[in-house]
Amino acid sequence: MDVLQPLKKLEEMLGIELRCKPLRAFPVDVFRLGGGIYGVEPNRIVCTSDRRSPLSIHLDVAHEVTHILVGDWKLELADDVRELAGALKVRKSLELARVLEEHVAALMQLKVDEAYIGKRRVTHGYMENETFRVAEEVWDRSRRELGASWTFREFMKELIEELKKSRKAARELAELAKGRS
Amino acid sequence: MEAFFVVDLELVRLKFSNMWDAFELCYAAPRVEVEGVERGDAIEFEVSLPLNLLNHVLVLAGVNYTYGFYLDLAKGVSLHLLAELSSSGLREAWWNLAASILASDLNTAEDLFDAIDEFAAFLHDGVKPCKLRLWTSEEAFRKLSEAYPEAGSWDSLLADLRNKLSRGTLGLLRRA
Repeated sequence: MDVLQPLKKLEEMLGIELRCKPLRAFPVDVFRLGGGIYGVEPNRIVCTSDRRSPLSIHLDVAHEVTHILVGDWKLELADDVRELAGALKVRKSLELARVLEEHVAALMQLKVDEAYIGKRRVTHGYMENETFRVAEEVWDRSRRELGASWTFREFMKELIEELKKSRKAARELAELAKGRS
Repeated sequence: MEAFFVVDLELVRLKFSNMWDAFELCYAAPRVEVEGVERGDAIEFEVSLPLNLLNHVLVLAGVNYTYGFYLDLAKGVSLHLLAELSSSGLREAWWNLAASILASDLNTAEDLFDAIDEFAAFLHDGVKPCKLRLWTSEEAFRKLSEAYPEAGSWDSLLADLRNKLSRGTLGLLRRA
């Protein structure tokens, strides 16, 4: 891990640093290649435990630590989320925010993976969603256009605006948010 | 005519005259290590028995899921207990407990049992946990609830959890 520095890579990509270091990762035997892995603020995650984990541990770190690093966006952009929920006719805006964050965590999983693997591959169920496609498009565009002035908050604002325009993503998000509540 | 066993690994194709060698290769779970100059990444890996025990039960009861783990490896677990856990409120509220266990400094199986007891006492009797660190704080939840009023109050959250994680359910988890 000290060779690949997946935490540092993620922090660089998001422009946000983990407040409480070190990150404490707990391998769990029952998660060999993946599964219902989770994390908790401020600095703890569960991760896979397998002889091959050095080839995939960056995925666990990228996904779970993204939730920890970006969690505050839900509070900062609550008005925007509620507006999106209204547009999608979703009653529970918090569930919508959580579904959206899960897509963003999957996006960071993809971006960190791409940085090491050198190509795009599907490692999370959400990666084939329309919402994910829109998120990736907004990510790539906003990074390109904003350059050094890019912030995660601006990315999320832009993503929310873009999602209002996509009927397919709107339907998908509404279904996913409904399924969680 | 001699038989050959061709194993296609995509990057390479290996041809074996011996079925055993082909079999061994196909079923091997290679150990992978990464070599290079250590640059530091502020990550510490620790193995926790309580986390392993808890997740073992959660996965076997079907309230959490996994890939690549053979469920037949589970030994000495009561199927009856697992079925009861599977149909309990744990299915909807396992994360709150699991995240609290992850957030806490626990080392032994006894620590895990104590933590589950503390969780039950906190939820059902309002006793402040000692060893257990909760998955969130009342203050953090209040902020969330201000931003999203539908999240309800701290008290309503605890009432919902009490309903899903009854004393009976937490007792079953402890016994599993």
